[in-house]
Amino acid sequence: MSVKVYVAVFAVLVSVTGVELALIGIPGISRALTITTLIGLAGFKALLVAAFFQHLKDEPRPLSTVLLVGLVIVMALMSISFLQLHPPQS
Amino acid sequence: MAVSNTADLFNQLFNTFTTLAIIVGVVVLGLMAFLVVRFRAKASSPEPEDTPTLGRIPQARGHLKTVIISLTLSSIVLGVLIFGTLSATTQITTIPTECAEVPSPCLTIRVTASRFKWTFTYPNGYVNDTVVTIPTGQIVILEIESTDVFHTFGIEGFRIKKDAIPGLTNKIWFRANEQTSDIIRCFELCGVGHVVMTSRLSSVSPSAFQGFCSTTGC
Amino acid sequence: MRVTSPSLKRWLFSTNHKDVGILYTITSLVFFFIAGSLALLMRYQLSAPFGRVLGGEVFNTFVTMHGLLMILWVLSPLAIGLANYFIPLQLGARDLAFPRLNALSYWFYLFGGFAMVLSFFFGGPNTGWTLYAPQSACTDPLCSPPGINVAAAGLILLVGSITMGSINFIVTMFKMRAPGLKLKYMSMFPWAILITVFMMLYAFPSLLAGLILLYSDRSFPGRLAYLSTAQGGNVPSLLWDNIFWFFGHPEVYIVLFPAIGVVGEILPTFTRRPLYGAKYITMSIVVAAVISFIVWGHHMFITGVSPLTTTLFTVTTIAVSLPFDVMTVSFMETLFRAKIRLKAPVLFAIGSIALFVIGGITGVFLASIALDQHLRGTYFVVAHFHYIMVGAGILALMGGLYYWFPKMTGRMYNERVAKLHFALSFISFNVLYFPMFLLIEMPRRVYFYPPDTGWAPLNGLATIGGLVFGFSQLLLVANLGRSLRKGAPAGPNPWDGWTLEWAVPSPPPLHDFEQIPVITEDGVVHLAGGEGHPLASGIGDGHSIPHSSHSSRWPIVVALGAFVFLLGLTMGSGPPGILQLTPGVVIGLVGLYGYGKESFIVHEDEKVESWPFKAISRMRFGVWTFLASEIVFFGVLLSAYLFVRINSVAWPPLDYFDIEKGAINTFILLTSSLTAVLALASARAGARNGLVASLLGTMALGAYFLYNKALEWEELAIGEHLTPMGSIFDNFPLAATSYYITTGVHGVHVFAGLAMIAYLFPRVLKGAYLRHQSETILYFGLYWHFVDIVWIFLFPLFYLI
Repeated sequence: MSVKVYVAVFAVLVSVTGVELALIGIPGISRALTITTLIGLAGFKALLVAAFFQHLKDEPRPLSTVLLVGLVIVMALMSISFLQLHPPQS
Repeated sequence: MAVSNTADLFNQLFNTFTTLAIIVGVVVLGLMAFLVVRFRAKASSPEPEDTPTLGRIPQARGHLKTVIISLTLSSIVLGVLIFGTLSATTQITTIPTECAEVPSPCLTIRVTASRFKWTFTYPNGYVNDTVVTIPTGQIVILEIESTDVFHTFGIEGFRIKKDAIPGLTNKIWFRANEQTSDIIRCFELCGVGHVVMTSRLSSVSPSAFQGFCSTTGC
Repeated sequence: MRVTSPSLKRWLFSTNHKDVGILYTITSLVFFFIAGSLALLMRYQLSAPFGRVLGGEVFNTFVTMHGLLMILWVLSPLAIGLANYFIPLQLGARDLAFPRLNALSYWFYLFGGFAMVLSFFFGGPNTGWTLYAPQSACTDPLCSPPGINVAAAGLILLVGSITMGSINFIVTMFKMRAPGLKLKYMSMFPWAILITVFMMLYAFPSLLAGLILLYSDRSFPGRLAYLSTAQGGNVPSLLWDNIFWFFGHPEVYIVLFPAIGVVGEILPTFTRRPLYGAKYITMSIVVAAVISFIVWGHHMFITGVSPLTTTLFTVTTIAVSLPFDVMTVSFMETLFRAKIRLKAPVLFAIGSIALFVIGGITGVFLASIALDQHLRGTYFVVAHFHYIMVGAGILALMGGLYYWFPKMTGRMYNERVAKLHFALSFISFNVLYFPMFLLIEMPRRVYFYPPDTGWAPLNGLATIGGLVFGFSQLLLVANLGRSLRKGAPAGPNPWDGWTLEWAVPSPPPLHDFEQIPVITEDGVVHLAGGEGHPLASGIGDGHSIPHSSHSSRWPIVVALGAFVFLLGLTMGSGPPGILQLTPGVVIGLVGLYGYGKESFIVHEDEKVESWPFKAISRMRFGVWTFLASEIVFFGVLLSAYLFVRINSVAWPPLDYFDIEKGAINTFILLTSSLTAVLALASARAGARNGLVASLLGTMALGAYFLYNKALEWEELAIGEHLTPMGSIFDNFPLAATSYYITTGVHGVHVFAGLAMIAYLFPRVLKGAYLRHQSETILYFGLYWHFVDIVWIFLFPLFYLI
């Protein structure tokens, strides 16, 4: 991978961070949407760092699965502990 | 009819589980014992054709059919158990709707866990930390909380428990069917006094309970 | 010192998998007797009402230590010992992928055990092995004694041991299989171990996160408050309940699956038939492993959480019986039309299955929310899990010990004594534990009971069973100990087994195989060179045994450093001073430096089976696997933060945290990621100056990040410029706790990265790590970028919402 690619990815990372900072300044967006967008943007940045800086996109696919399983497991903990005290009201 | 509605629910379900458990256990363990005896090695028994030997990967053995049959049979048994569980659970955990009426026909008593005793506080402020007196035939709601650590409130004969957790108020409900004296214990290790953290539940007739309320204020 | 001499030095420094396996096995048996003695004393105390051999505090400590030691220092390590010895052999390999890391795992485990024993003398943990909050986190003398901190140190060392071990086994099993040994050709023990180590990788980080929360709360009482108080909407009991059982439930399956693997090894050998439905058994273990991560809530049925979640958990927990049914039926079918040679190993294996059936059936009782309303916290639960862990677990592992003893020692044990051991154990086990199913009304962890409860007869019976069971285990030790010297000589394959360990001498030579076996498409296993042998056509590792290292003095030094450091961290009360931490740091750094500088030879064969990880080197795979565990670790830390935040009534307003500083730090870390990857590019291109500059840049940026963070920490603690004014600890204790702990742990990771650069730097200046040697820079980068990714999530979650 060339230096140009690294710098380009870096530029995107910086820009997206700028978007995050700008986002919280915009009035009128619901909290839920702000949070979701911020987490989504963070996830996007993480993917870029992983895919390009860690070269994950060039590794065997099962490796990404090993990492993804960890993430899924942790999401199960987060979502269930949330639902334990805040179940959707019918 | 058992000492409380909760005891009834538990006993019925427990009996179902136990019956199935005994049947399954006896069949499986009996079969195992039979297989071990029947197929133990004797001088006369022939060497099987597919004996795994060093130098060869063993032949595959087995049928998907067996897996499917055992999964199906198991699912049927487990399905019964899940159904029984869910229906009993709903009854145990759903506070009857009539308690929401005003005035409520249900008696609500606050139970406070602390090291190492249970303190009962009645609606009008009467406090007792050795025995909780309730009337038979009436729905009783217990609001369970803790002032210090994680305890678990359990009434032995009534077959019901709930955790007493700092920061939460948990509720259980039941209806006593007969006059009885039951024992209350703590079921989560809370310190050295865990074992002596006991109390009593006394269910008395409605008239006796009225007398109790007139003397204590309830 | 010869690597095979019987000297102490050999055992302290050996990295050979057989030695490490023996160390694990023997150590686990020692802990078995220690924890078992605790149990016998408890049983003696409970044999009659008002038994007064043990006081309440001592009893509570005994019951806690018994649980922790048995689960973490006996059951898994015994399996790991057998796995260490036999997995390389069964895979046709000569050692694990990272032999020194393997030795390090053992020493961490042993020193962790020392810490546990030490904690006894500081008033050990007394909350039960489950360490429930808030009692475990509260430090006033009425609550829990300071020994919990030292026990936490021991547990942290154990988590380190297990994480290193799981990484080692994962890489080994994917990257070191003999040519032609496809995954589907592996026998049941390797499969069970493979699944187990993945579970370990994903489950133990949760325990580590919990221990860090526990330790932090206890060290800074009044300031940090995740687990110690229920103020501000926080429910410490639930938080710990989730984090602990999220680890705890998979953990009990981690303890069980190797035993199932051993049963799957023993049955074919002694029934003279292949395992019935071997591939379905394997699939079932995988399914059960997956489901095991979503059943933890069955420990929380009556905590007052939403019916939505309890219903989910009751269904998943009851459903997890299904894969176990398939396993049991398959094992039983294996016996059908078999020719069963009833020797000790298979007696233990079959006994294990039988007791597993009882344990599993009773588990379904506990899986029912409705039944749990009465069974919770009673001896019914105690009976259930002992049937699984001792009945199914220990018995199978003992069967494995007998099975593999001849291979490990070249001697046969005494069969009659072994059969006596089995009979006594099996019968007394049931006398000990079955009565407990009938003690439905007796609470757990009580140190006496009044006579009017009527519990005395069953307790007395259980004690008799316990005494017989406990003392019967001496037969195992006596038998194996004596047979070690006086047993009949055993050849390479006394049982006529088919797996590869039976192809080598008993005991195997240092290098295990003269020639690595080769398996051809027709399922034939070619064991030694010869005409028409695949080795002649160039497959396999040729005719000479490659030179590999088998010992290193550094693992024990590093482990000692970690041990001393953690003791320094936990032995006093309150936050530790620099003086307490220095010895451990010094020893650890000396050890790590020596470890890094040492030239340790690990031979790597090119012609191994490595699907599906062919295109990744062992080390890179190992580093990534480590990062997978870090994902879970940080994920649990974040879950703790989100848990208290979502449930809190008062949280700092949006502009409370210094968004500017946070943003600057984000840009700093992103830039440092760029410099880190540019360092790699320079290294690959052979540009020494570029590498020097990029690494320097990364280090400077990382240091600046930490400097900013330190300023932030100070500001928040003092609180002069905050709105509302005042220390964050006073105004928003929960926000303080989550912020300091999460950014603190992240900061430690940043610091570790800087330490790595500091270590690499002198060599970089001399021109190391260029071109073909640039892999080290890559590994550093993988770690550094991960630390950056964590911050990428931390920043919005703490500063922007």
